[in-house]
Amino acid sequence: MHRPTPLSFDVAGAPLDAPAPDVWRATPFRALWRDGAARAALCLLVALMLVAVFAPWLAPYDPGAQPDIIRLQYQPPSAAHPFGTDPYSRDVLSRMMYGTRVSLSIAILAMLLSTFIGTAYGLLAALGGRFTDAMLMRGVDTFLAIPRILLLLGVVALWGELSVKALIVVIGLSGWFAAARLVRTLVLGLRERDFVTAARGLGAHTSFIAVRHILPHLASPILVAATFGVGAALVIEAGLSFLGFGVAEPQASWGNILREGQDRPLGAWWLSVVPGAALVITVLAVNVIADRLRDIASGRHLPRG
Amino acid sequence: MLGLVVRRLLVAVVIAFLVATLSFVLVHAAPGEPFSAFREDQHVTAEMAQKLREQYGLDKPLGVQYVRYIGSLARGDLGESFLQRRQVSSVLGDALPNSLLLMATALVVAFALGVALGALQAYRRGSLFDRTVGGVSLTLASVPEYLLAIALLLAFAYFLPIFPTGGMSDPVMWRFMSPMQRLTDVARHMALPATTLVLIIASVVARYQRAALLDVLPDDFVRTAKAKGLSRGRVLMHALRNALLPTITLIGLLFPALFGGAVFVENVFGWPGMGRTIVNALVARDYPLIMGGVVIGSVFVVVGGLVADLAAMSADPRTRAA
Repeated sequence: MHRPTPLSFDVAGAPLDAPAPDVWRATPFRALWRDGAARAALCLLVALMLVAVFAPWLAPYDPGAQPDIIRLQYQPPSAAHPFGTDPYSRDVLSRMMYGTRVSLSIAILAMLLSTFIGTAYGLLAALGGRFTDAMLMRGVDTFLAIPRILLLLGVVALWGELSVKALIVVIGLSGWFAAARLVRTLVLGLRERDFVTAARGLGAHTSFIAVRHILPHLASPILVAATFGVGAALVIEAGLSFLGFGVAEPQASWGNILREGQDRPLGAWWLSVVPGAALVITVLAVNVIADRLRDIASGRHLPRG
Repeated sequence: MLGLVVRRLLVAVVIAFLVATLSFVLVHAAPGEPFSAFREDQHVTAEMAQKLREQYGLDKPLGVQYVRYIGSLARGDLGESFLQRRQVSSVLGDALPNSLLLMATALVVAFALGVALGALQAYRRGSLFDRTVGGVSLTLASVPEYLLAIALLLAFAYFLPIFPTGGMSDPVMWRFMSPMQRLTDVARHMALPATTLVLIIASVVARYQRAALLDVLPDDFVRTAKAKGLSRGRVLMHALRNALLPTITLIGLLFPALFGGAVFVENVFGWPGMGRTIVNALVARDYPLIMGGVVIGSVFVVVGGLVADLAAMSADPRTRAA
């Protein structure tokens, strides 16, 4: 479900003496903070992470407790259950809080895995010589030709129920192809630059050049792609759980709760609306941040009002 | 140009072969086997299971199975579906046109809508219209297909029962319909699934088109057009033609997303296409059907990308001359 987003980075066109774009310096983040939408998105994500971390203390009920499966099932939102209850009489608010834990950690860890692999693979392809490059990129082309959800459905459905750890690995392993391509394209431009030639002339090894001279230039594009990647991983995990191939019951995830709403879309609307809204708002927040980061990184950032 | 086409076609064949290999490895590396469900069935004896395995060649070594599979694939034979007892090619042959109808309709509408919206946004940059469409399209681009599908289903099939809830045609009345009525019936059934895909793809296209047009507007040829005294609208059309190229290429990149989206949309709306067929095959562990579906789906994606690239080339006077 990789939806291409405009990713344009003019690395090769940057002035020769320009320092490597360093996103960890304060300036880009200050620019991000100045943007109202991005600030709201950042606050929201921090709040969600706090919910995820402190879920055991914040949740009013045990997310797995089924107090009265006959009389307390499908309770509409009330003071006792702000988000209602599910078909097993479990409290949806508590399940959402624990689900935030599962969904966010899967998304973030999967993104870290795919960013790491994608960067390493892209560097190897661009610097490993023409033959290696051709071989490696045909591999990427193959994987890119298979819709990600199909690849994941295949693995998940055939392997049966996966643990959360396995899901992270599988989602991470299926998400690095576009990143590898992006990194390769950027490195192909960078490796012709004078500072690389100079380093080579001084006798630096290719791996040293890759890590010390090229990698810092990739920081901001990778950061942007990785941020978009978190949103994509969130959507993928919820989609798998929604189809019944993701996080296994009784563990809660946003997609799981959404799936439970499918039996009674009208009767128990809160089971669709609550996780659906959480998913859309979170992915939107992540995408807004990624969008603004890209504008800042490519210098197209214009102060608006 | 011709050389390039041939080279791209060769690459497409290599990718199809690699995808076939990959799906074979994936399916056979997975635990469990197609007839594992029969083991719990008391009526199926061990001999019968063994016989079934022999019948489908599952008792042969993996290497033999692989060579057989690739060999028959090269002849266009995808094997026989375990569950439906039909040729995979005929099962997919029933499903693929339905998916293509849905996706092609969605793609054409979404492309036109997205390009128009993006161009208008760039034309009136910074206006209320630009910011509204920008906000809406960023939101829609963040909405998973399955959520949008459910929302549309609830809104326009339950609360306002304008459209049918699922399927591709009316199962009862279909036999009594005239061709014209059948056409409207399919269109009515397609409205919601197609709208789901259109909204999402159009928002992605609009975001691209706006960015592409804004990239082109400062160029010299736009300034020349302006200096010649052309109206703003004419200048826009002038720039749009150049800014269309990245968007056409984008369409090629969108095919995997389109296909992936169709998997969900078809499942929510019960559209009898590739996505639903593949998910059903996965649940039933129907190996040949899974492999066939993945291979055909990927070939479709590769061919789509190729066509989009060729379209971009023929739209670009610089590469056309070369």
